[in-house]
Amino acid sequence: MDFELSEDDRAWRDTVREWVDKHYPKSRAREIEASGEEFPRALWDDLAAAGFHGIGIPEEYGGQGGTIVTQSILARELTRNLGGLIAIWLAPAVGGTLTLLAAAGEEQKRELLPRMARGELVFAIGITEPGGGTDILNALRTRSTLVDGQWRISGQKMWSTGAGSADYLAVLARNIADDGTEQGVNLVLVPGDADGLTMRPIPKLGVRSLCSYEVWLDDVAVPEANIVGPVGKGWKGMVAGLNSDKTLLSACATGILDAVLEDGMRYLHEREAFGRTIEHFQVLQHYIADIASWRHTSELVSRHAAWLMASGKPAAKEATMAKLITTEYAVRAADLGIQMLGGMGYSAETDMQRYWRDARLWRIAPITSEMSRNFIAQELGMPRGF
Amino acid sequence: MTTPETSTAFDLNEDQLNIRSAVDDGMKRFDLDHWRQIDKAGEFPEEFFQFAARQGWLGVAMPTEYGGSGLGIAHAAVMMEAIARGGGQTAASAVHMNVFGTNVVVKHGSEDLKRENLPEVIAGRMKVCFGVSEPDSGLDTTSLKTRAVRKPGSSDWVINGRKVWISTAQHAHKILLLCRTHDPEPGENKAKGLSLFFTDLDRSKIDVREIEKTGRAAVDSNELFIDDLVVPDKHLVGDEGRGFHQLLDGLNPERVLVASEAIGMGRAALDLAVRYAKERVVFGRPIGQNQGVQFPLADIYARLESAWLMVLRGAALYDAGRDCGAEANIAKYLAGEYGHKAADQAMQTLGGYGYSKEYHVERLWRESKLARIAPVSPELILCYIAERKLGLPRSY
Repeated sequence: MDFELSEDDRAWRDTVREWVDKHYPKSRAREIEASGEEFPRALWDDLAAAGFHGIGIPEEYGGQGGTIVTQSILARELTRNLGGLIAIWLAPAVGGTLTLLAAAGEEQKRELLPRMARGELVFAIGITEPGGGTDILNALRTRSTLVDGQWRISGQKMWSTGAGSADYLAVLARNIADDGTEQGVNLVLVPGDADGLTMRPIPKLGVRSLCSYEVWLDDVAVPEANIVGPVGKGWKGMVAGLNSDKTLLSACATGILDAVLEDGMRYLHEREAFGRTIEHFQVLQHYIADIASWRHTSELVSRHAAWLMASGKPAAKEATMAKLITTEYAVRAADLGIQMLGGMGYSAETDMQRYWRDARLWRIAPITSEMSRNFIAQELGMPRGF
Repeated sequence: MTTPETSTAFDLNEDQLNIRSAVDDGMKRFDLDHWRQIDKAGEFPEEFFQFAARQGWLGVAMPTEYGGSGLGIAHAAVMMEAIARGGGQTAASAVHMNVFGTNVVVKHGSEDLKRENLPEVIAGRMKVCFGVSEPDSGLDTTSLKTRAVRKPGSSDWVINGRKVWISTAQHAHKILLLCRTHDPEPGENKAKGLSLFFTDLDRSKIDVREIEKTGRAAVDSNELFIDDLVVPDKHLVGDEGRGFHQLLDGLNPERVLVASEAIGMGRAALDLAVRYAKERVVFGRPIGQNQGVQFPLADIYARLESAWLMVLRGAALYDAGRDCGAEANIAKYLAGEYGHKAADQAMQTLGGYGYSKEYHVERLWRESKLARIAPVSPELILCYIAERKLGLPRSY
């Protein structure tokens, strides 16, 4: 058994850490998050210039290659400074790249993936609807019909992150056949500038400068060739990224734990009260010890899930556990982080509050902690409890 | 066999019930959407403040001879719970200082000081802030550095120093300022030599800089730079050098009221969560039918009820003139923890909608965290309980 990262992976980790500390220190990430812009384009472009959008895209499709272990290292190191802004990288990497790799035709892959790797195409997904995200197959109301060589799509989507700046929106819709019957679901790439597509940003608690949108599709017409995978079988592309999403998110949550530990220890070392630096106080040491233990656990479960996936082994349960464990720890750690910084932690001029608000999303999306537990129980062979 | 009498000591009395229903009624004019807009704009809720003044809410615990209602801190707690339940910490903090901030003046101030100020505070024409915390002495209050010295050849005082986390200083006309007026003798308690002034917040001598923060944007928090502020001797509250002791008449009611506000916010969040859990149907049934959803909400209900009893106990002891330090601290500790836990569980129940700003839970989540930090941290309360109630040695 070997728990170490390979020499290459360690070098990769150091490279990313250096890059993010140089270009996106925490203070800059904090400013971006508070800026209120809808899409931090400069960040997107800088990630492109660094070649990060191509990590996980095979070299034959113009990417930098690498496995989910490589991606996990990138995600963790970037999140340590960027916090929830990591979604600008994560959402297209999962909802775009993995979907296309799993379900797109060869021509589509050759056309789109190299441009995605270079950061020329912004991808967003439109799956969740106002009626729900967890039970999506029941909540799905959006419809798609093939009329004269074009898909005509109508419906409404929620929580589409980055949709306002997306070149393509991967939309899940029911497939309505000529005879009006429903035959499976389609996944269709809707150009961001298509007629009949309207949207509004949803104001939210965290990651305020990377907006998620409510999207309306009113008889939007899209070329027939924009479908991903066979007609009626769009589900395949959609689920392709689910385990990767959970695994990569567990790496991001570990990055939050890195950040909390780092900022917390620095503050305790500098702040004086009752005649000495507060790092001398036992309960604060215990907070740090807990956070360090949570980070260690998170690192192990996250790395294990990534290793399983990179080795081609089944990982559904482990990826879900990793997501559940690490995101719960990340929020709890950031909460303790604010507690350690006291009023300074509540101030918008330090980063703990940003980690806390950002990480809180991950206990809800892409799957709630509660649904994760339901799923794990099912995987253990227990009767369906929901 | 006699029928055991049912004790009503834990129930609200008629006055308190009337206050609660009046405040609940009043808060209907200021619904959650109103508070969301206020929070977004980050502007002081003046309309609500003036409404509260007209309703007589600001003077609930002030003596009748100065225009107050002459009721106790228990009544104020019932009122603040209802205000926070209606509008969150933003609503509560908008009036909080006027409700209890001059309590120290009532208990220890001169007759002139009271006549001059209390009617104005109660009528809402004068806003008040507390100047206690300093950049290097948040919880370690007695180590504060702000000094008041006698102006040579005069009875006036000259004050210099810095204060931090001063709520409402952008709008306040008066400040209750804790300063050192003389050093304690060697071996003497550091609390000796601290004095309180209730004086004008003179902006030509006090630079007020707002601190941007996670929640409650509409009710400002500030850093104060005090430079040669001249204060007449008549603005000294009570005895020189006994300010810290007198301040307890501000701090203990504050803890009880902050606790009641945290419970109000927790109940507001719980209410939103319960409504959503009944309405939202997933997998063919309301999500509230899942034990994984309903147990945490039932647990929150039980915790909030238990903390509320502690609030009433702390308030009752204070109003009876008895020592209430431990009870006020415990109330604030439990209510702060559970109030925020309620908001967190509500966010979890609403899922994505809980994270969006349009369903109010995220604002309650940000705001309820504040009661876990201020006015005293749970960590320091545990120190207090360990030492004072359990007789354990001081750990810091």
